[in-house]
Amino acid sequence: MDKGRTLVDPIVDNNPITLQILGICSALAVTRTLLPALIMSAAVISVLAFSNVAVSLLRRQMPHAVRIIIEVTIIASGVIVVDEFLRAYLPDVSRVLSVFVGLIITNCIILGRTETFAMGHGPWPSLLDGIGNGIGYSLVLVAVATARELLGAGTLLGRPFLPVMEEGGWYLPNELMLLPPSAFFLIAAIVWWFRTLKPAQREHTVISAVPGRFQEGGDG
Amino acid sequence: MKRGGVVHTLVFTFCVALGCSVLVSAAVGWLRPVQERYASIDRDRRVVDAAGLKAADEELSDREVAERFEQLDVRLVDLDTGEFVAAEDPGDYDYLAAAESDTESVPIPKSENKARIGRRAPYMPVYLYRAEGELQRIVLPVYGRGMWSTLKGYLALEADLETVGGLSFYEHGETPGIGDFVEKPDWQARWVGKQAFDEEGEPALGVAREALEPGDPATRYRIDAMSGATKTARGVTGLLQYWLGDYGYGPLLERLREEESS
Repeated sequence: MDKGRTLVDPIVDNNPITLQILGICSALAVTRTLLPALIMSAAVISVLAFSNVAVSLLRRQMPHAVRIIIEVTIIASGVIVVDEFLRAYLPDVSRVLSVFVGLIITNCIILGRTETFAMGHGPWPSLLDGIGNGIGYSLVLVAVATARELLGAGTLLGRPFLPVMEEGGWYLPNELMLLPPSAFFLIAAIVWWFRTLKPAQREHTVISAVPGRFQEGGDG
Repeated sequence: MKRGGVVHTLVFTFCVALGCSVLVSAAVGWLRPVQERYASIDRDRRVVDAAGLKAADEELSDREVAERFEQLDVRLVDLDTGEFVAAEDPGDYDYLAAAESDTESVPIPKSENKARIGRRAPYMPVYLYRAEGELQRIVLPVYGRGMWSTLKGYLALEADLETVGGLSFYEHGETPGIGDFVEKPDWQARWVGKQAFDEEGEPALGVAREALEPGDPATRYRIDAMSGATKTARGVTGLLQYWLGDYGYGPLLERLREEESS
């Protein structure tokens, strides 16, 4: 795979959220308004890039038996640094994101990338892979947050965008959009749309009810 | 050292752990002062608001907060005697940490433990707002147990030291949708103008247990209860009674009242 593909591939063709259905939890939690979603995206991109590069640099020395715990240690350190940084320079957003920055540690996308990509590639492709997957995640996060804030409150980044009825406009905000389930509907719609455009992304394995026949899946 | 052997695994793990902890400590050490500066501006902002130096719809920049905060006289008060004590930065006195400390904290007698905090700091910071030498308002930090965690806020009294100028809570862990009205401006506004003490001079401010008829003498000191939030209401009443009482700001308020009348 050439370098450009490493960066671009995870954005659409191999998007961690829509194709692999990873990282869903935070995508539900921090997408009520656009600003926290943007900051969260930046945080995830930096943690992914940092941990991918660090794991890649250490990969030849990494003892196989303890590699997961080493990877998690590196990820956790990166997350703490990002969290402290947000608390210092963006305290208001940091309060909205609350525990979800810390929970980046458990975001499957990060461990997924360090384990499957960085362990087998050099630091430069790993950096690109980290950034690419981060952007892929961010794309979905920002799309969901934009839809939720716009339809739920009529604003974008806190600025009025659709004239709401309360202030004499014509738009009646859909308050369902402010509740967590709406993120599920929106992500499902995005997955559906992606897979309609790219039929190759459709899953051909059918999850059978017979025990021992589960083929694919993921959580987040 | 064989890769994957016991020695290699231990040495490698140790080095990674060491590297990561150095990274984290360095970041925290570098960022902590910035975080503290923000926390202190945030605190000053709430005090400025409680002191009535900000209009309801006004948004203050950090610099405006600092300017208005300058108008306040910040004092550290010895709760036992009600006297002011000398302190370098009275506003930075961490009374919550002092109340936790074994050496500094003072136990509160069981019968007086209305705020359910058990122990308190020996001193508390208070904020006095004077205009042309006359006391206009005093802002008292208050806290106590609510339903789930500690309610933290500010009680402001007018120049007579009896009329409530405002009560606001900035931190709480009350149930969302039930007890979280304590942070709502319309609930906080209901306190304005209430009397803190009854005719005998005992602390009487609080949330009423039952619905109040208009004209009921209790409406002088009490605001209406909110349905479903009995424990939150009890917590608010308890902490107000405690802080206005003899083990809270009672001695200070008494002293200030005497000074004023003389």
